[in-house]
Amino acid sequence: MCEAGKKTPVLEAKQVTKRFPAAHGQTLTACENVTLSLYAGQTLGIVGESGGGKSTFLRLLVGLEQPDSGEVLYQGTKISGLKGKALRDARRHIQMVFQDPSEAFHPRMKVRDIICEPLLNYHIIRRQEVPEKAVELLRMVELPEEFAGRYPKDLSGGQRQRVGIARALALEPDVLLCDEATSALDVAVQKSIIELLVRLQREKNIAIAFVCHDLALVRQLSHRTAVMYLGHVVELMDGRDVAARSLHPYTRAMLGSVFDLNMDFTKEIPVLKGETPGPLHVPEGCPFRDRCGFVRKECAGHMPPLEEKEKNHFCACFAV
Amino acid sequence: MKRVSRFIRNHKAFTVFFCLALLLVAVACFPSLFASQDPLKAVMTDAAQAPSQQHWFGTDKLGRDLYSRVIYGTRISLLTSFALVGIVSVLGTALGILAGYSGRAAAAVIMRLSDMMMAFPGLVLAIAIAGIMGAGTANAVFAVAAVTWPKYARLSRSLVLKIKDRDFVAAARLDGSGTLYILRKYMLQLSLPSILVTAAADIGKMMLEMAALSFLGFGAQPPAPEWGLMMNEARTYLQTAPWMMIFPGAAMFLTVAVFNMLGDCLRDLITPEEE
Repeated sequence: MCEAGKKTPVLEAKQVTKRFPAAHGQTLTACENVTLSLYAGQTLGIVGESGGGKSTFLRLLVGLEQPDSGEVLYQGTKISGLKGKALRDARRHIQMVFQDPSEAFHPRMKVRDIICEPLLNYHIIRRQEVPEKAVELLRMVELPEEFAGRYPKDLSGGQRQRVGIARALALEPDVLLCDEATSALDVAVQKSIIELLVRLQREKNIAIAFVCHDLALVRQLSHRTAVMYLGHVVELMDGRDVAARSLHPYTRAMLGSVFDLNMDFTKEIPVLKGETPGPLHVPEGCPFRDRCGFVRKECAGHMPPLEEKEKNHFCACFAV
Repeated sequence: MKRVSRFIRNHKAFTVFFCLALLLVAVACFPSLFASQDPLKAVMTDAAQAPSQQHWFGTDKLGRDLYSRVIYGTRISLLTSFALVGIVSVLGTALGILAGYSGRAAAAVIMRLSDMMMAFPGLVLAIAIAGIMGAGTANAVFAVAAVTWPKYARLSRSLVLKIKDRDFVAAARLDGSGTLYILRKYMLQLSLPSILVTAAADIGKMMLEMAALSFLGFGAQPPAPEWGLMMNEARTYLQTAPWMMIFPGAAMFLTVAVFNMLGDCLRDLITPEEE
């Protein structure tokens, strides 16, 4: 949606909805009518609280889950609903970095075999070429070559996440999905991983979707930022607008809970009222209305549409 | 060499039981090297003799040398129990992994089938099978296998269910791994330690089970030198010629103990490595 019309998106989700059956006949709504696009060389940040459907959205994009309605398009071709070989071929261009680097690898595979597994799977290299290719990939993510013979459990969190990035980029994908890829790391390591991602994006012109609950981080990194609340995209704006110009009450409330060295500590810290109702009990109408300070009568009626309130700035709220 | 000696020093119990098990396997493979006489040669004039210089363990009611029969019995016991454990662990694990990884329909069919087989008492089924197909070692193996595989199916299924939703399996699917490759490299390889531990612990159990069937007359048939069968034959002579019962029983006890201890050591060896 950034520079709409000039570019076609690499990966596009159109009105994707995903619900899961839950206990006692309830339904868990993970994504509701989500429409988002990824462009080559750009980063889309997706923020929101836990349970907001961010991770499910990524799993839908990559075909680990299938949407109940709506579709996912890669280079204009529908890839949701594909199976078997077709799905495997489509996936090759869309790769993912997982949240927990201690969970993302076969515990008994060496780093060398982990990062070359995709290349072997698609018969891009032969088994004899693994050591050589592994060194090349390790160099790309700035890890020493001797890590090739180690097991993931012998690496630190940040090193593991680099291995995860190496694996995801081994196939030279067009799209890289990062599911809270830095949340499990400490701040200094976070920063180095982000720098690595930014550099690789610049070199390879990859589209990145970066799911995160750290607003400050997303603000630095992303060209566009989507804010999700209980499965809905409630705001979509340019990355740098997040702090200064965000419109939706939810985004503003989240910003209020970002701590900063320069903040005025004499003022009362605004706290988001109440708990998230949770994806099992998404209220009718606007999902945020229970906690919103600007709630109106029509909020209970139906979900406000995502409208362009300013140039390139979309917001789903009646009060804005 | 250095690594071997370090391993031996760190795992003394395992090494001891492993060597004993190897010895038993050697006895089973080459009984003629250990036995002093033909286990089937009946010399009626020597019937029911007490242990002596010539017959270390005495003789049975047909005058056969008990020591040689006990030695040859190792072969039957080890062979049947190894075959049994092999069959049930391979079959059960394959079905369990399939049930765990594939969709609901396949899982329902396999797991209901295994519930059904588990509900059967092994001995009763063996008696039924012996009634239909005749008594014999192969049929006894078949009967025990039929009621034992569900244990492995359940174990491997539960392991697969735990593994399959973890991130690294999703990652494997994303990087283009085929289903067969995932089943082999991820599901099988990661559940193998637990399966192996169970299988090792089961060897002794299977041995007892086969001997029990033979004792009841549904397994090995005379004149085979099988421990269970020998104990049954000795039953009536318990008061007059107790050695006929004692030696096969002791052989059984020692063999089962060695394999059980080996299984225990193997478990201690493998489990901490898990995480």
